[in-house]
Amino acid sequence: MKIFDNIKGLFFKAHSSVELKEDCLKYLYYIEENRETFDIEKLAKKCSVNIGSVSVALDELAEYKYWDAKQNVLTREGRSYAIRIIRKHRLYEKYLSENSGFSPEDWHAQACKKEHYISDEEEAHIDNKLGYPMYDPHGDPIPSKDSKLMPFIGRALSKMKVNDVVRVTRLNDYPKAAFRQVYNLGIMPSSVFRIEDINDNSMVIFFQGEIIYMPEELYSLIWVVKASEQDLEQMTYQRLSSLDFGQEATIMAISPACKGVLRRRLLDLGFVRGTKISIDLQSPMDNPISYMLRGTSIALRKEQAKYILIRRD
Amino acid sequence: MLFDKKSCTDCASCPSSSVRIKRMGLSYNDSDYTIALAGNPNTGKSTIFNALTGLKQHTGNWPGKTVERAEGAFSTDNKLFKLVDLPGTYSLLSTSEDEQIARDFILFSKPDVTVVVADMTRIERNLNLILQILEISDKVVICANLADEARRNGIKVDIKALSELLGVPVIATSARSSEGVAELISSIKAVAEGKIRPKAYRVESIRADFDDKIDIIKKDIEQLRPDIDNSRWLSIRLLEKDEQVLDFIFQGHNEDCKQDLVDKADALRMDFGDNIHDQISEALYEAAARISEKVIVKKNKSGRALFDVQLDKIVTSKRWGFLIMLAMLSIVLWITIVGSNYPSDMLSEFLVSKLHPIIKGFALSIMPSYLAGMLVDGIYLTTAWVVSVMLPPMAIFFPLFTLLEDFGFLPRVAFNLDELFRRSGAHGKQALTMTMGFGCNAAAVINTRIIDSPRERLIAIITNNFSLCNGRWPTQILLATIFIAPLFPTYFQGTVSVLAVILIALLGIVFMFLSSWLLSRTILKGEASSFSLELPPYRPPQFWQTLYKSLINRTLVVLWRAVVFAAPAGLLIWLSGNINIGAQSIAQHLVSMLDYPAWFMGLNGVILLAYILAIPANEIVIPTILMLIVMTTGVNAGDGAGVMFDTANDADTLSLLHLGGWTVLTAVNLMIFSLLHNPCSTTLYNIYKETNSVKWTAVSALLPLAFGIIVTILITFVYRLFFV
Repeated sequence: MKIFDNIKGLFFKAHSSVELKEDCLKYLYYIEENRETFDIEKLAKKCSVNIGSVSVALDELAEYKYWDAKQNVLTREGRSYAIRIIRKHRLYEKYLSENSGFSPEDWHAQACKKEHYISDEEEAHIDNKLGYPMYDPHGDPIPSKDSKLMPFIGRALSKMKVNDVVRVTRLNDYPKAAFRQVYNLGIMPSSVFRIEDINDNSMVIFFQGEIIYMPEELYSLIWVVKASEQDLEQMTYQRLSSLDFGQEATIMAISPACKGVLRRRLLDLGFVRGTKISIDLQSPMDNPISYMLRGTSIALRKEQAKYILIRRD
Repeated sequence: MLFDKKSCTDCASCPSSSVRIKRMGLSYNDSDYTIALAGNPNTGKSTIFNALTGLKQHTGNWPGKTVERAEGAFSTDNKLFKLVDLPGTYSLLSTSEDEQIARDFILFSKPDVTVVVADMTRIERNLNLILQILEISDKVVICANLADEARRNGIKVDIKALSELLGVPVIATSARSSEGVAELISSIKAVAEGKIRPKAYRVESIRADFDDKIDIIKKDIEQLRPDIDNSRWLSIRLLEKDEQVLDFIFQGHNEDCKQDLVDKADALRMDFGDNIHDQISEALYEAAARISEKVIVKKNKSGRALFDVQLDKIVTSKRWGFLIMLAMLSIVLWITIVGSNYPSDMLSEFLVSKLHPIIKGFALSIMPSYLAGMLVDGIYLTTAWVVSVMLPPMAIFFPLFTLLEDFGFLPRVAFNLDELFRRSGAHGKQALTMTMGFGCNAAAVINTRIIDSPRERLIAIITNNFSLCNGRWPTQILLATIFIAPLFPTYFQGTVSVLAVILIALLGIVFMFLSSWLLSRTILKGEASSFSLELPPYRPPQFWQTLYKSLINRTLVVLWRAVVFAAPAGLLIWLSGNINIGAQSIAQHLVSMLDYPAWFMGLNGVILLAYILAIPANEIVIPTILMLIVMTTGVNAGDGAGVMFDTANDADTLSLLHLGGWTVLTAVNLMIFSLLHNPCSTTLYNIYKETNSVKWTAVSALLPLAFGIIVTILITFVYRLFFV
């Protein structure tokens, strides 16, 4: 019967691709999560196709019992399927953030493409390799294998006040250029900073020992919560790259912006909380710089040194 | 394959491994005890391994992996101990191949004793691995090696206190002088036989509530497997979702409670947070710091000997850094060139001038002349050439290189040059493979394994051929001596030839940076990866040992290569020179065909053909060229047409080359082309083996060749524009 339907479909109605169907499921899920009303135009725009293609996809979804066409909501199986796709998407983003040469602003687009092609086996392998992460690089929770999701917390940074110390919980990744800039500043989920000044369309913050200026296009991407007691400690940290020759410091942490292989390597080399560190040698071209820690001399490029957070003695 | 790669974890009883060992004349099947040898890299672990096993060892590979595995044996008091050398690792917690092998062996293959070799001058660093191993097993003996280094650097470690704190025997050794080795063996024996029962130290306070919280899992494991004594470590692995450990726990048990245990572990993970791995790592380091503070009695304030620090300040300074590197390169080149002159002459005297006629005469008496020609003039002669040209430089360069490496100079080179590599989109460690390439590109390509990032590794592989390898030095020297040097006053001439080679070598380095930059902007685009490099303390190299080992290794490699690659090439060359199509030999036909394109490059057909024929091995270029010139000009020299040869002195060579129409332009272009052409066949073979990709092997072959063709055409064009 199934085959028959497909052949019939071939002649009598257009087929939509698996990608489009899965995209629809994904965006329908988001629409419902955000408590928005169903609007076929909005859906078509999100999927980047015309209304005709989307309605064909919806019809097929209804046939498979993922979509309740009468009430315009996803069925339980539909939501479940959507969550599985979202899981693959966010897992893959996390994988890209730790293991690839792709720039941060490309993670989402790459994941959007790949999510439809990740087999269950690959998914399990990636999950294992990443150490079963709970959040993707933007701060969105990754649904677990049995579709459990951590709740999302946070408010827009623009709603906070001067002198508030906040911790980032989420970053919007659109527009791409702005996202990249924020990321390059080292600001990402779990970063802690203090708001120094708010103007009409800009904000000044104090982060990892530096004063940073952010225009509205940048700070509007950031979602935060008020910093906890533990978080406040992070406000005293500075970057290793700001250490001068002859000064001694103690390592406090490795920035969460440093991930994957590099993070593990730094930990293995001994860049761990409580270690005393100072500059040992400067290379003739000023980069890399070799640091003395635990009796060993280890060379790091400036790009990596900025990830190591210290407190000067 | 005798075994399933994925599920193979028990090397000790693997049928494949015992088959190999038996063949070597040693049978480890009847060993009484199995000992694992672990430790950080750079701790002298191999010296300990050698000290314990003498030469009774062999190397192979870990099943299903590309990592090398060495095994040996020693006996004491009528008991036979099998010693397995685990890969050197800094830790057992990551997922790198080396660490998995080490961890799996200690956990699953259950050696009777695990010996951890540590560098006594850097105890704190080495404690990271030691503490991890102590979490897995109680039967550990720690070998605090390099005791002589520690004394030299004024570092004093309270061995007794360390042993008490860690709960296992600690023996101070200086393997180079066999100090402490006997004591080490008796400790190993005592632990293996159960005479000493160590109680290993376990790391506390990963976080305040850690042990309370993991108690749930810990108790379950202890109930399921009362035979395991490291339930805490296994709980930690479960927390990190280690599937292998999960399977190990439930081996032979029913799987009902498996899901229950997994759920408990999951709940704990959510509780502890996303970065549990970091928390555990950091706890290990904090423990290491606390222990070191208690046991290191006297330590240099800066952690390094004064001499080290001062030397480093100069070697990495703005003023002297680059100069020193340039000087070292020149010195090594000079010693190799000058030093290999005489031995090369002697070898070719013997193998070619003396032996060849004898063998040829003998061959002619027992087989038809064409067969004798093929075997003796083709195969034997080429092999003899390769050996006499290659062996002396390699035998000098590689020991020098290894000495510098052991001394600790090479990491400083990578440190100084990293910024240049970064700007070219490559990795600082490429400096190390680049320098090795001056000895042999084929070996350097394999050595690129030290670069972790695949993209940057590829760049290092593809550009390695721009390092002028030993095989091409004779060509460069000869051309410099007979064409360039005469342009200068006599007293200067010797220096000029060496200088010319140094210049070409430097040009090669420039091209290496240029092509790295190009590659990383075009087909190997990507973000620059991280660079971290440990600068080890300077160590006086073991002069004679290094010399001896290097010599043996390189000699064997050269001989092997000669037989496998050059011999068939020799056959082909002889055939092309001696098989006639019409009135001329194949070689002569090809020469005339190649003359036209060669003209653009300022070369000629003879040279191009020689290069094509010499793809297997660069060393035979000059003899091939000489042979071809004789063939094409009909001059009577050497043993006759169709046989490679070399002349007795440079003047003869020069006149022969003039006959072939050579000028200074030809020489210069040839020197450039010798630098910028496709890698030799051994290198290409190694590149294919390392990359497993026809595409990248092709790029490695064509990129330098393209450069060579373009540059020679340019030089010729400019020269003809202005000077002709």
